[in-house]
Amino acid sequence: MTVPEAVRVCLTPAIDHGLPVVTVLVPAVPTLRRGVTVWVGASTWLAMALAAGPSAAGSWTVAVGLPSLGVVAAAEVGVDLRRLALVEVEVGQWATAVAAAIDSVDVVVAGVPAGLQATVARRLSARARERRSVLIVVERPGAASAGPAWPERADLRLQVERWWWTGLGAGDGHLLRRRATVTVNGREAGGRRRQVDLSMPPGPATVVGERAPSFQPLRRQMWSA
Amino acid sequence: MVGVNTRSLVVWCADWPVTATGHDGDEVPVATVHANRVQACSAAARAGGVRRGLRRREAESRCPGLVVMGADPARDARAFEPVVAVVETIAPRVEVLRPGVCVLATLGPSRYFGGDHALAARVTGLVVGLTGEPAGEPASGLARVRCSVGVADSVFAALLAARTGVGVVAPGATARFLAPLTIASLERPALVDLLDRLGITTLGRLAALERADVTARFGPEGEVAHRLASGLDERALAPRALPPDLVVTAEFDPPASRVDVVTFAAKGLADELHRRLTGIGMACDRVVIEAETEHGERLARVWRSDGPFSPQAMADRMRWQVDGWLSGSAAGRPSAGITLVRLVPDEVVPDNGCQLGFWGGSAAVDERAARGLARLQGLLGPEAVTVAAVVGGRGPREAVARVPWGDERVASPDGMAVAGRPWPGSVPSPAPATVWADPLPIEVTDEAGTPVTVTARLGLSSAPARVDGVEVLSWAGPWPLDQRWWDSAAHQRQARFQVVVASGVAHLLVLEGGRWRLEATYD
Repeated sequence: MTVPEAVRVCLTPAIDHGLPVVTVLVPAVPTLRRGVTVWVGASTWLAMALAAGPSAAGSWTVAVGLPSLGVVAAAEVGVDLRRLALVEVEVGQWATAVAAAIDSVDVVVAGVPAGLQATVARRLSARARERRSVLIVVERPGAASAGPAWPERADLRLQVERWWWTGLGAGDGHLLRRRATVTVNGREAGGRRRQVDLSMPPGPATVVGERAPSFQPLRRQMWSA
Repeated sequence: MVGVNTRSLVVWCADWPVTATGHDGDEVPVATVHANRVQACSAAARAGGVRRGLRRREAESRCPGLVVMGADPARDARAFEPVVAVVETIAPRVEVLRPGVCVLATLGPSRYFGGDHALAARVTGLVVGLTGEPAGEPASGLARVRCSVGVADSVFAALLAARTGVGVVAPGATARFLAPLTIASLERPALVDLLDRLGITTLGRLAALERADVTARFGPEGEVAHRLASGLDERALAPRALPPDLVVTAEFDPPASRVDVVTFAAKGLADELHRRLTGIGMACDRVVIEAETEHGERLARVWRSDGPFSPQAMADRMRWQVDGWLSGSAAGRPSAGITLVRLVPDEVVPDNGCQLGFWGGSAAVDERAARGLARLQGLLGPEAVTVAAVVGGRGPREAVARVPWGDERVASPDGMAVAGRPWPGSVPSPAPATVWADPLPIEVTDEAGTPVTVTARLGLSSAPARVDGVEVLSWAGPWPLDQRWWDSAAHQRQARFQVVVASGVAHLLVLEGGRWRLEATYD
């Protein structure tokens, strides 16, 4: 049985109460525990990849405050579009919307607005912990970074230090394969700071996420590499 | 068939299919066509030589400026609703024979208004008044309605009285009125043709025959024709039932400025509406919730649901909507307390119950997510919460369609298979993670600092070396895109480039109309 390499869901033992994580990210994040707050710096793709594991296994995802989200990229990395909702907010309602989303779904990806207060951040983290939802906060792409946008120390902090792309030459080729050097930090990462190389192989044109084993048979897709 | 004869008033609107299209029949030659034959035509078209039953080509050749529209019975019926509604203000039981013709019994109304002539004049005034006073705009969006009214002892005679312009036929004089009319008024082509050839050319001659003989020779159809010609009806009026009152309203005095007051009333309102709907065996899956304040501000929102609404769901949505309004942004917040909330069922379906699935696990998660998203819609507005579907396209932006939560999906669930079909000229995968909602204008220059251009034959002026001052490590392009050349509004002609800049981040650049912009970033 062939399964897309990039989105083979890695299931961890249930005693962890952890959500599954896609294979690509396993070197950096072995498991995603329910109730954590994850800070992702400078990469929307990384946030989507984090959300892809639970999404492919049946969880709902809400993206708040990310108007420039690339939906096709999310689908390619494994997010199930049937269980993804996109919410646009004005600045004043961001916190209310994120809180409402935490109450309803398992994974919330939120683009942090500028000037977020520490109390608000703390309250949202506490709410996520209480409701056992994962809150992934992303630095908004294009935002002028004047210091860390998330004032609290998140449980897990991921920062892309550098991207490496192969496939482009001097006027020929096209982007094929990405590699990222990611710094992992935080309580959830064992308290140590380490750097990991994540390598994402070129995916096929259509990538279908695999459902977690349940009563339905796993879907097989034929594609041309 | 029992011999019933109710004195009836018929309102006949000439050329109703044409009036329903909204064109002014006197000015514009319009014809509606069904199965390639003209079904109805306006007065101007008739002046040009168009008749009912002509072929479409023939009609167009007779009247060159003819506007031809397809027959649409739903549109006709919908457009006739305001007319019936206004006639119903005179008498409650109105029957619609077909769009354009309605009938009411004159016994009560005639006595009330002081005679048949007064009643006819009043009805005519009401219907004509629908389509606008000379100064104002049409109240109902219809073009001018030419209607005439006929009163007689039977519906058939009243219709003929309206069409021939006679108006009111005195009681008892119906048979005398019908006698000289031609047999073709029966509108039964086969029978009429036969009777005509037998020499029975008027209704009077048909009525003069013995009914038993006519029935024996022509069968039931002949009997019906004889009754009509004698001034009797074939059946009693069948008035349409009054629609039950399904709009529920709650008023607040003093005005409510807190959500909990409204919430308390909302539960009662929703229960009442549910009770009325189940009483007629219906359920509603689309409801309009309206709220009004003391100062006249209104907020009305349409809520949809996958299955029929339960009272709890309706009360929840009212609470979210009012909560979102009262605690919303300063611009949208009302300036006074809420005096009125109203629930209007928008789409009502027969109530067949709701079959829940087995293995309720994932259904519970979906249900919780659906409630949460509906609540977000209540707080932020229905357009703020969307779901995306991949519909396929040549660029990262157009490959995706966004649909508000709760709307029927635009794309099939198999969207990725559609995207997998070949789209020649599309940007190859992997797709960019950030597709800028407002693409930024940038400058792309070569080593010497001159802007890079692309000719019509895709010749690059020089290799790009800097993007907004940042050094370019590797690049590829130009990839041309020229789509929808036939539509001047949607025509897109661009050249696309992929570049990797000094920090290692990759971008998708687009050159369109001589200007560069940053379309997407692979972050």
